[in-house]
Amino acid sequence: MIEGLILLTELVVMLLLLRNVLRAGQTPEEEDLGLFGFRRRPDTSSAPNPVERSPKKGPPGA
Amino acid sequence: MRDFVVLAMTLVYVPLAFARPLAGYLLWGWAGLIGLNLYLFGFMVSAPFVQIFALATLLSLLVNRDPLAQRLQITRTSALMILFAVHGFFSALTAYPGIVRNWELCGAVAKTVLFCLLMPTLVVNRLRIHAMVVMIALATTFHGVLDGLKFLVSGGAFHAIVNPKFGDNNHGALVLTMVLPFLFYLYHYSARALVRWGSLGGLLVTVLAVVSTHSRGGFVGMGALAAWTVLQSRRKVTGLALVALAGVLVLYTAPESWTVRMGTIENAEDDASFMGRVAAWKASSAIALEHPFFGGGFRAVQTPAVWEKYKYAPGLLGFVDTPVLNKRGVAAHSIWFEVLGDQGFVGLTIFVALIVNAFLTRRTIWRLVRARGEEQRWAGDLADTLAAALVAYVVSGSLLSAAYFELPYVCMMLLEVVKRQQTSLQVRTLAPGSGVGNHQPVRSDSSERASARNPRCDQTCPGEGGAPAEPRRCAFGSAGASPLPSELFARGAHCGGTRNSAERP
Repeated sequence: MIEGLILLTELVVMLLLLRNVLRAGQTPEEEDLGLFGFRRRPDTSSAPNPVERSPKKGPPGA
Repeated sequence: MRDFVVLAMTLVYVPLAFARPLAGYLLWGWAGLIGLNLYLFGFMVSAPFVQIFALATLLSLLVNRDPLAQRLQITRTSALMILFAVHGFFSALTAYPGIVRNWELCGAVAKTVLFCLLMPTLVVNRLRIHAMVVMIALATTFHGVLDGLKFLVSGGAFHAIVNPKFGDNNHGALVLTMVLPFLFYLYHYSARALVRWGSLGGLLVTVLAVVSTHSRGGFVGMGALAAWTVLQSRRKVTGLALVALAGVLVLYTAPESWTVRMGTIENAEDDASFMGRVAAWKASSAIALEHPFFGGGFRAVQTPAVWEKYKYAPGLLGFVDTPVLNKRGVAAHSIWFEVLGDQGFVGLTIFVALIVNAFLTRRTIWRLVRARGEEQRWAGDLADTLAAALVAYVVSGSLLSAAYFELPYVCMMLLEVVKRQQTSLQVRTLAPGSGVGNHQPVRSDSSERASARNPRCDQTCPGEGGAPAEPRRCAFGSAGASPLPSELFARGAHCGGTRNSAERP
């Protein structure tokens, strides 16, 4: 029963991926994969922001 | 019921595959990795899903024109793969008589190579590369989720074989270990929380599924994967935390029988199972010594007549005492000795070249990423992901007959595809009139990554606002090494060049 449900989920998710790929994957600029969309960079929300941290010291030679 | 559902979905999939080559290609790869037939029990049990989608893709490629499709190009990876398949054909042709799976495995290699050769023509940009990653993760994690949940529900009593399509429990563990880096990558790079947390959950359950196989090779592979991931990761603390979490999960859920079995890794010399493998390696190398160019044919050492001939031969490992196995043929139990026995020294050389080439490709991708800056870091991280999957394959595969399994070849070609995508960006950026400054890659890995994370340049560029900038070196980065982080673009300041609006992958 559970195996069947997981299989059904797999089939539906695959269909969703195909739909999104076909919708978005035909132009070079498109980057929206819907549910399967991707980030430009990995999630670093928990890490300190290096850009904000650097001005303390200032650039070398300044 | 299940068969009817799968039939209905197949009837939806097939027109999609015919309509768009990319859809067919994804379905082809997915069907190959998921092995649907093993989960069906009725009239669909023998449905040739892979062949249907492969045929649909090839027909679709002939009939429908994909607007982004590129021409077939011979690259280093594709040349090595073609060489491997052609050499395999001659190995099969000159094989010992009576090898049952000789032509079947030769055909499997040819199909895998055909699938891989088509990848650079269809998977041409980041969106499609990401779709490939999702497809691989979906197809393979399916097995991990099923067996991991069964293991949890049974309180650790469930012994998984995974999917007989892959082979025994050891092969299943290898496949599941290889998919772990993909899930880690998707956790970091998926935009939607549902997919991110789904990937993390899938990763943890898949680790349990590897445990449920009771495979020592899988355990060693996971250890190697954890070590590689932590060593290569920029976020070593996060990596260590995840590894620790997985370790705790394993210790709490694994039954005593698993702990006892893993404990035997330390006493390999006293282990009859391990020494049996060494005996198989001796025989495989002895075949190669007698047939150095083409070997004995696919799975020659498993053939009773061939095994009888070589079972006492010392081969390349005469210095190790091994028991005589009263069997009618044994598996090679190592990807290296498998290829050596099946395809001789020439075949092994091509196989090793393919794997070395993959790691060299990863290095090239990082060089290109560093030259491009933070915007393209995903490509470097994906290269690390694919390399990690190959590390798991190489380590676990050293004790398994898994040389012709398709996933490692798909990883190798995906690395080539990422390299090609990054190279095309580089070419566009360096083209005359593109207005990009002379950001040079620096040599040191750590300093480059550090500069990618800590951009210190905060000068307003004269080229902002559409005016072409004078190419100049960054005032603060050594040799103009600072990348072009998008945060600085957003603030209207960057170093040494203008934003190239045409650089989207």
